[in-house]
Amino acid sequence: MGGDNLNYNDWKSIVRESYALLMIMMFIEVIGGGILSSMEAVFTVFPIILSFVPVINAVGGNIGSVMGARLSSALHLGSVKAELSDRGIRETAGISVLIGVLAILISAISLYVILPSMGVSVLMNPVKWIEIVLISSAAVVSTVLPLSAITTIWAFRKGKSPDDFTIPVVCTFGDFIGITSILIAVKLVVP
Amino acid sequence: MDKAKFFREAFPVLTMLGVIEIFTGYVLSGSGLAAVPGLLAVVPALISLRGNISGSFASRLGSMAHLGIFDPDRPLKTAKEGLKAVILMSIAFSLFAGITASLLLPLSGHPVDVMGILFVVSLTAVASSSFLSLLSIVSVSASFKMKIDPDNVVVPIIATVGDLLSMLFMAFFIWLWVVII
Repeated sequence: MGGDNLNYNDWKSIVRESYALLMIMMFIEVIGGGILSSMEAVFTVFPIILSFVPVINAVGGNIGSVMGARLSSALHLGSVKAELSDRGIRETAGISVLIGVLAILISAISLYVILPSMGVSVLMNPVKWIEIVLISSAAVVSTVLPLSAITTIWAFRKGKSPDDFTIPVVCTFGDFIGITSILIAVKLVVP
Repeated sequence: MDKAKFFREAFPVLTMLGVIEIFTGYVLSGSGLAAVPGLLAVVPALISLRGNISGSFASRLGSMAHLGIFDPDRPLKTAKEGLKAVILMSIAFSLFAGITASLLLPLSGHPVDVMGILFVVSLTAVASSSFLSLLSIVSVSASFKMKIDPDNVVVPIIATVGDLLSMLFMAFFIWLWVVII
């Protein structure tokens, strides 16, 4: 049972369970950061794209984390089975897709509207902006949610605490995929 | 699982947090990053560290609440060991990310200011992780008392506030670094 391994009373066991994964995650994040650095020239012309990076990464990571945390609690309580085919897990994933795409779209439109009033010139055609947002949000949601379900179930079966495992994995790959998909979307949409 | 309850609790919070993230983006693009060459490469690591470590901490508190071993009346005592782990890992991994970026970026010919990166990154990590840990404890206690499932709200709140907070701290420490040198 995963529940037996919730070592909440000892900081060393938390560090021991987390550190290897976190090191890998930090390394992947730095690679993602390197991709960002390679786009510095684009950000100088279109600061809205740099401002969109935390938005897409956050919503991607949040929806993956919320779903992972829900599955984790449900698995601990025994209300869903640790299988991808479980109906409860599939329904949760379906609603998570809906929430994720809607939240990114609303945030991106707000970003486009709000930035000029904060003194940042957007300098981008709204149609192109929506194209960039749709391409990158579709990529993030369709990758992060299956990843969240798979890692939560895997961690639970292996007896690891999904709390120490799913969230780091989901946030990191969400960031990497978010940054990469923005790069691809920008290359496709901005001439 | 209650689908309608999930949507009702999670959708407004996630959308609101996405919109709040706009300010993180705004702070990021106006933070004066260019003053510390190579720092942009550490930004995703710095942001995700907050979500990873403080988010895991908050999620752990949520599971403890579900299992009935989180005492909302004595939250600090219950969370003490988790708190130690958070502070320690924040410092260690922010330095790790800073050093990794400083080693990798020059390979692609990108200039780096190693001392500037390590200064900004480590101080940002200490400041924001201390603040966020306390916020995690307060929000899990509050959502527990308000009978809201912490899984649906606390983790995203911590991740989002953490993003904005670490970018604000980063902008401050970039400014401080520029003043010092």
